[in-house]
Amino acid sequence: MLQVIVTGVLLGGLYAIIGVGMSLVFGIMRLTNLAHGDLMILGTYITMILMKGMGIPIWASAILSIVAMLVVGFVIQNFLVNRVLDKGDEPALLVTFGVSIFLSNLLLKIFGADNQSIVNPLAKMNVLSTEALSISAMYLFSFVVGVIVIVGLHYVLEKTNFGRSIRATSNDTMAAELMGVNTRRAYVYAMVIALGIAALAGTLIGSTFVFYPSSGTQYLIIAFGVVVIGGMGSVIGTLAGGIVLGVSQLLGGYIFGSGVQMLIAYLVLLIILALRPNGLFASATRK
Amino acid sequence: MKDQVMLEVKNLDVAYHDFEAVHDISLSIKQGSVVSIIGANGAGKSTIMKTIVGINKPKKGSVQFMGQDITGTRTSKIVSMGLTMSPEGSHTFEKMTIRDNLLMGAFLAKSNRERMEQLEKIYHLFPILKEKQNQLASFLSGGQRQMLAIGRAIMAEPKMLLLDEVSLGLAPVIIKDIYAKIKEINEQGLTLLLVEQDVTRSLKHSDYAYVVLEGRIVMEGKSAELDINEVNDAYFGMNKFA
Amino acid sequence: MLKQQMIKYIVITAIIVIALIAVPFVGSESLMATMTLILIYMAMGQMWNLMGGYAGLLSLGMQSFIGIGGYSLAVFSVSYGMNVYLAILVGAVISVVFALVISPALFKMSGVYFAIGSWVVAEALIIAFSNWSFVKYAKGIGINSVYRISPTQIYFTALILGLGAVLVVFIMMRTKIGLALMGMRDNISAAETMGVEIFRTKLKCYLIASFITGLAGGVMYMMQGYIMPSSGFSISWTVAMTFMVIIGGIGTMEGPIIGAILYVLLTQYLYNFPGMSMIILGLVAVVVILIAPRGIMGTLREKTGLEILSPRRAYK
Repeated sequence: MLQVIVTGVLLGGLYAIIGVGMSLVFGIMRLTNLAHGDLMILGTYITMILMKGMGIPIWASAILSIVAMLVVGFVIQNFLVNRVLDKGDEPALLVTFGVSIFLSNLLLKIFGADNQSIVNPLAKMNVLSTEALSISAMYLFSFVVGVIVIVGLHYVLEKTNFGRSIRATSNDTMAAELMGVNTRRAYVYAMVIALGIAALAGTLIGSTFVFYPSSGTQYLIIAFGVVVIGGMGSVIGTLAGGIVLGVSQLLGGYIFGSGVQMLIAYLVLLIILALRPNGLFASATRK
Repeated sequence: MKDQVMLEVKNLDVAYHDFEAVHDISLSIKQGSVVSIIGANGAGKSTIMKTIVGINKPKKGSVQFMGQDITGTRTSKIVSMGLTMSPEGSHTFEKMTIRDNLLMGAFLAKSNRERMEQLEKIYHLFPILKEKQNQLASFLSGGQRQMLAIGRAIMAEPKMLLLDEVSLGLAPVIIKDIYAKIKEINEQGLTLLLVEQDVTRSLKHSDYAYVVLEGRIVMEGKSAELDINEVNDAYFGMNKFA
Repeated sequence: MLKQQMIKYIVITAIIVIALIAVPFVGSESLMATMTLILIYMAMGQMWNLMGGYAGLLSLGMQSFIGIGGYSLAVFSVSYGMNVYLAILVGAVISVVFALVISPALFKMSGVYFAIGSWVVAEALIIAFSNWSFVKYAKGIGINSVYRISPTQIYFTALILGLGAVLVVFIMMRTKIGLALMGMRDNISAAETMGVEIFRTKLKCYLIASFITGLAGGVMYMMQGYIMPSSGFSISWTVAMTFMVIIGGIGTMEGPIIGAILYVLLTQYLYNFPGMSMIILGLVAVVVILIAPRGIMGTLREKTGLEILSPRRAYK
């Protein structure tokens, strides 16, 4: 039981970093990026082929993958999403849906449906290994990275001039523009940051679990769950959202069997969605 | 420098979809002056203001600011040139603190130090904002929110400021207070364009006035020389100009 | 509508219906197979459009009902020897019941929450069915009860389904529900004042859509003959529906018809390039939204004022 909860919390840190980019994008432009999961998996594949195909070490591959995804973020926001944002909610949502279909099938075409994984030294290591409790090095590492990224992003948003402009844009677009913020460009920055973080999250996911081209769907739902539970647009809330989801998934698996653990996580998400349509921590996160 | 034209609007037409909001609007605003646009609700005043700062795009006509054509230019670019607006309904950032709201006003400032200096100036002008600096803007009263919006707009030290309906829904004593601040700001050299529904107040606080009825300018002149009764008639569309 | 015009419409409709009935007798077998698919997809597209285009319920979870329809056919006709058509009908009824059960939760969500909430339901069904011995876990069920049914018979089943779906939407749009839907789309603030009415109207649309999508699932699996959780409840069904409606024109009745024809022809053509069809579909959808967000019919109507089936519906 203790094992389940500790692992669930650590998994939650990983889930939080999957969701935080989606939350940022939702917060600033009210867009739910349906391609978020597939874009993250794209980041995973980029890291993988740099390692396997070119023999680049994992940390360098991860950095290159992040850089590549920054460019992808620029392209998607500048040439696709920004062009339909003023036509209402549906076109923008459907554009990201189209991108999602395109990407997952492109990955399928290139890499085939086989399971893949990113080999790394942490995967089989335990930092703690007793009878009552063992902690996987990879889970702990992901958790730490997740917390650092989220706290760092929170700091940037709260304390810097750039961060203020992002918050202002998400609060009142017209007023932000009147402060001299080019809000279209602010959207681009937000998407670029979101996808940079997604590439990092993708690398962590790929180092922890096996993945395949259609994994994006599963992670989109996890990201969405994290964002919904944490409060749409709240960065710190995603950490809470990730932990709720991670713990409920593993607890569900512990009680009902590991085959249905995702089912439990989905049910928790649906129940929360029905009871608190604005997220569990929606009112608490922004004082 | 005084008497030089700062903002020149020529034959502006703006349409929303098929409905023409304003037609053939021409304005000329001299540096250092206070000009007001008077008109009833729905006369097209806000449309003119929003078009000047690039929020609405004109169908025809041009806007020149300090000799440069800014017609159809992106709002953030216009703001960076020194022309800004405090919009109708104040549009403060509700989810941000008073301090962050003001700091946003100086978003384009070169350094944080410059921002802090400006912040002190604004706090000096509106002491109430300093008192409440760490509260969220949503906790402010209507009058305080208007002061925040004005303070935020002048954080960037603009050359010209458009003020849209600063007195809407406020108590007379607060309105008096705000107009006193506006006068103070103008005396420090800022050119102002005001939009106001109240005729008497408009004429009292401006050097020059335009009266707008149903999207057209029906009367203009030096505020001191305009006859209040005639302006009132024009405002309601009951005279020869209509 | 003028009397003369009405007669013209009836004649044209009659000609189309006769032509469709004649397909098995005069057309080739491959034409019939193509037409069968078009008709089934048309029914799905009409239902997605009824929700997304008219009722403002953008759903990414209609595959739940395809799966339920398909599985009902498989389980009842194979394991219990039920008549195939009855099994399909039972599937549609189960779909409605399921929709009714999840609707109190789902209808608390709006906009994108509804879209993703309904998707999560379908994903949950995949896992549930994969762990359920009654439906033979993830390995699925071979629907041997349909192997003896001739392609012609399946074609006529699809024909009834497709025409039925169009007819249902056609009639709905001319009843009180239709009026309420138009009101909702065109003037949200006025419609907000009658919240209960909106809820009922949306729920009716959802239930009708779940019934016919359930039927479509049954008919689809009558043709396919094998069902697995990952294919029956796959998001790709919704991808197809979304694609058809976007390309054809969201919020128009002709849109899903044109969309279904294009979708089936395009995917059949792309069979020659394995793995490419979904990539290209995704790409085409994005390009269409960028350059013609109202699809073929929406753009045509905007340019020419052309209307065939749809009642007037002002655009925002």
